[in-house]
Amino acid sequence: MSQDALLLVEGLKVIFPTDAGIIKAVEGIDLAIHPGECLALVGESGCGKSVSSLAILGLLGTPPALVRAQTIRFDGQNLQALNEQQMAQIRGKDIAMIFQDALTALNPVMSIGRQLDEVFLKHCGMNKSQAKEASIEALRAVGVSSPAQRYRQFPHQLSGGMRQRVLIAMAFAASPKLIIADEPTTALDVTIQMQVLEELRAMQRKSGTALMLITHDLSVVNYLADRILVMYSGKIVETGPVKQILKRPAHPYTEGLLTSVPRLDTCNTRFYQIPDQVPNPMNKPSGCHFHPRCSYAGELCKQTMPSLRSLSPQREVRCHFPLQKGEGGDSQHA
Amino acid sequence: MRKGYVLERILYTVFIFFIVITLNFFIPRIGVEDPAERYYPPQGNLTDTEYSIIKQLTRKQYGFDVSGWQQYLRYLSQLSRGDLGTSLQAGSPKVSTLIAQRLPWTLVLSLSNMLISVTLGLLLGTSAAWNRGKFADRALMNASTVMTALPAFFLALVFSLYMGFEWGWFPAYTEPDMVASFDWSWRAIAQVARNAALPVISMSIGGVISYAQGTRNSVIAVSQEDFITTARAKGMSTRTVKYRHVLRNAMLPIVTSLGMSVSGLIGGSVVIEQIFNWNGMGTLFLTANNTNDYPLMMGIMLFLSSFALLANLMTDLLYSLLDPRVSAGGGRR
Repeated sequence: MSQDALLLVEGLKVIFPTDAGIIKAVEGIDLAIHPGECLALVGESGCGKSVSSLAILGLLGTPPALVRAQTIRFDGQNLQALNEQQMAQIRGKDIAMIFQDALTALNPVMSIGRQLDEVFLKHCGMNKSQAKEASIEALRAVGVSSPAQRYRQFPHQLSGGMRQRVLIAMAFAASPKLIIADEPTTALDVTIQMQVLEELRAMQRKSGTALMLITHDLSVVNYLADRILVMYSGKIVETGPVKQILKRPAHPYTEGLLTSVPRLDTCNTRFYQIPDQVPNPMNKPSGCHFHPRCSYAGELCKQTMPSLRSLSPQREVRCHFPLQKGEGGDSQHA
Repeated sequence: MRKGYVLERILYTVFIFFIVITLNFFIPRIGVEDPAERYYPPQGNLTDTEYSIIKQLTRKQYGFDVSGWQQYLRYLSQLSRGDLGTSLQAGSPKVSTLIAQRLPWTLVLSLSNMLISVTLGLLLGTSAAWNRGKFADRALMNASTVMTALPAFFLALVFSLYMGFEWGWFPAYTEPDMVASFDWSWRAIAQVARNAALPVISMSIGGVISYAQGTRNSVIAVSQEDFITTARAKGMSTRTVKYRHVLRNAMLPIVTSLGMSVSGLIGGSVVIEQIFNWNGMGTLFLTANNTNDYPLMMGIMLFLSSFALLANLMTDLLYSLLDPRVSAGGGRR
């Protein structure tokens, strides 16, 4: 992977040893995010996408989790070598997070103003009155109406969309280089989703912040992301530029995800769904984890896990029988 | 919004208080016979005229000379003047005087108990939560399982027997001159402390355990909330996260149980006072009960329930200060 990446992760593994068995949540993923870029991590619930992001920021409780990686490098710094105090200096300042459910992600007994202030006080060397001014300005920037009033209010007094905007304001507060947004619009009404996405994109464009978007919603991916990384059962199954993948998916799982997006322009009476469910993380299938649900699977898929092979300089896929032919002839049957 | 909430709570308390007064008036009258019959059963050496005069006088003395409705109104007007009535004890002391004499002694026990329970409980509970699964945490949890099975009166008996009689560390029985000779001198204060030691220890062990357990569970539950991850993702230091974000939220259920235990400050030590022969409200109440001194019983009941009501009001108001969601009544603004 390239050297100029803002965030470079290689061989990230997260396992949870439990009494019932070992849960392999993430089984060695590589990813790179470049400055200003938006990378989407896509997959069903339980595929390991949220766990990966929390592991990168050191926010997973260890124990219960065990995190291993060859490299987690951010902006030239080895994040694995930092202690909790040094990590706290990076969190919120260089890498910020936006969480899914803004009601539970905000402290119910603190005014949203004070919660915003905390970021400015901690990372921007401001005093209290400067922080208050900055917070109100930040609320205004994400389209919160009458920000000076909202500043004094508590999370339960705001609507869902407002709360999500507050989280966005909080994430952008210290002008971080990277924002990890974990399902930023999943908890919102469809109409509000679009407004919040627009806000998020506008903020990202304006500040040039890189965005790691974690979602299962391909319309959100299509709207925001430059590159896509599809995860299945703790492994990356396909990666490449959004436009190419959404148009011509190479992995049967990606195709399944795309087919299950409901469409208005066809007259199908039933929604398509990928048969069966994500495998039990304690008892994953042999060979390719996806083979029990895959209509293209052959004997080879049951026995050996395919490796991640490149289809083109920008695209990689983990499949014995990819749906797209690669440009380079040698990548076909490695 | 907040002013409305305060007013609502106060009006509610006043309403309940009125109901309490009414019940307090009627309940003792359900079982009570004619006081004249009770205290002066027919005796052979009195003429009928003498006997009926005595009965009339007795009824008048106890306020039974008018109808129940008038008695109720009389009771209300008497209360409105701050008069809790007159005890049937020899010398007819005022109920309020008796309570005022005993209350401080009960508060010595119950306030020390509460102070110890809350402080030690919070300290132990939070440190157990922050060392979850480690030795200290497991030790506390195991100890609490054992200790919750042992009631305070049992501990009191054991302590009185061993630390009191057997080893003589503390008085096993309240020294008789403690109340009479109390004069705020250091010597007298030390004597009270010495005498209060065993009752307070036996009362507070259960309190410490239950506060510690409650705090531990509450802190652990809050630590797993999403907003704690948010706070950490903002780069807040471990210390800030613990004290500013976790503890304040974890305190909410503790405030409730604190408020509930405040209402038990006065009436909660009846049995313990008996065991150590401590001269407090508990002994006063038992005496009133055993001698059918119903004005005194009514007075104590009313005092206890008003105290509990006030404590509840305070808890509600304090809770709304700590948790803005409470006073908002669920509405969005």
